[in-house]
Amino acid sequence: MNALTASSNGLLRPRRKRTISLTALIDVVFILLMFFMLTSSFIHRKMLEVNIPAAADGTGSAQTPRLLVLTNDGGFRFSASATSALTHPASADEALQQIQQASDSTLPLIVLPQDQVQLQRILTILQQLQQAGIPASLGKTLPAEAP
Amino acid sequence: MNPLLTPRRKAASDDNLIPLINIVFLLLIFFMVAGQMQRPMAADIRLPDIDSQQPAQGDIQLELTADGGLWLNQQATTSAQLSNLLAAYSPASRILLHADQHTTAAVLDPVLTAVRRSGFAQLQLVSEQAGN
Repeated sequence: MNALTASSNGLLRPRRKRTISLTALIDVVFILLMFFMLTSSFIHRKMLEVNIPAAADGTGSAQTPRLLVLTNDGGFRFSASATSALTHPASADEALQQIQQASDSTLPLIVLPQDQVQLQRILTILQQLQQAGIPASLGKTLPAEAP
Repeated sequence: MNPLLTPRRKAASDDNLIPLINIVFLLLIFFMVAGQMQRPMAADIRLPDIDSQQPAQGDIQLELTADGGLWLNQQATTSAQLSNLLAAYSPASRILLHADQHTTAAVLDPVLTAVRRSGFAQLQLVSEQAGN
């Protein structure tokens, strides 16, 4: 009884047990929130591995590689070997089909873009080849004239 | 006024803050877990959009804009200097090429030639994918 009256006395107010003030805590948490909101990004970067062998122009290799040319007008030229005639696949799917069916899969495949072909298109083709399980490498850029 | 009531009033004003702190904590944890930090780029580049599964990881950051501007680890350079600069790195390191999606093959070719000349046989081309 005596203790209760002493604690309710204004002069002997019990010390509060709070260790951190909530206002300071929320300040820090807000600053952390701002930091993570401003620095984090939800656009995830991915990558595509592209082989760029030194002899990508086909010289210096014992085998004549298969060549897939991406032309400036959006078309394709495909050469299955040194002796076979150039084909003109109309679409990427047709080109993939010819690469898979009408050529020797032991020969390396080199993708040769013409000079005005944009990177987006080169990468799309390389990605399609990779998905189809065809190892391909990116060769030198060709001048505008069709070979 | 009853002096016993005063400390309770103080506590009640803090109680109102607790739901707010809960929500702020949840937001904080969401941004910490869902977002990812990435190295800033020196150039303004629209990365190509392809459906690749591999997250971008590499040691050397190369940036190429559509008009041929080149940055190596955020230092401006040219494709003529590039093979000398790349010679300082081990051939086992991975080059991340951040090239604009509208870069033409004509602009890309000197960079690829320089990379080949420095003894690298592979290049990681970085693409962007929203979500997931």
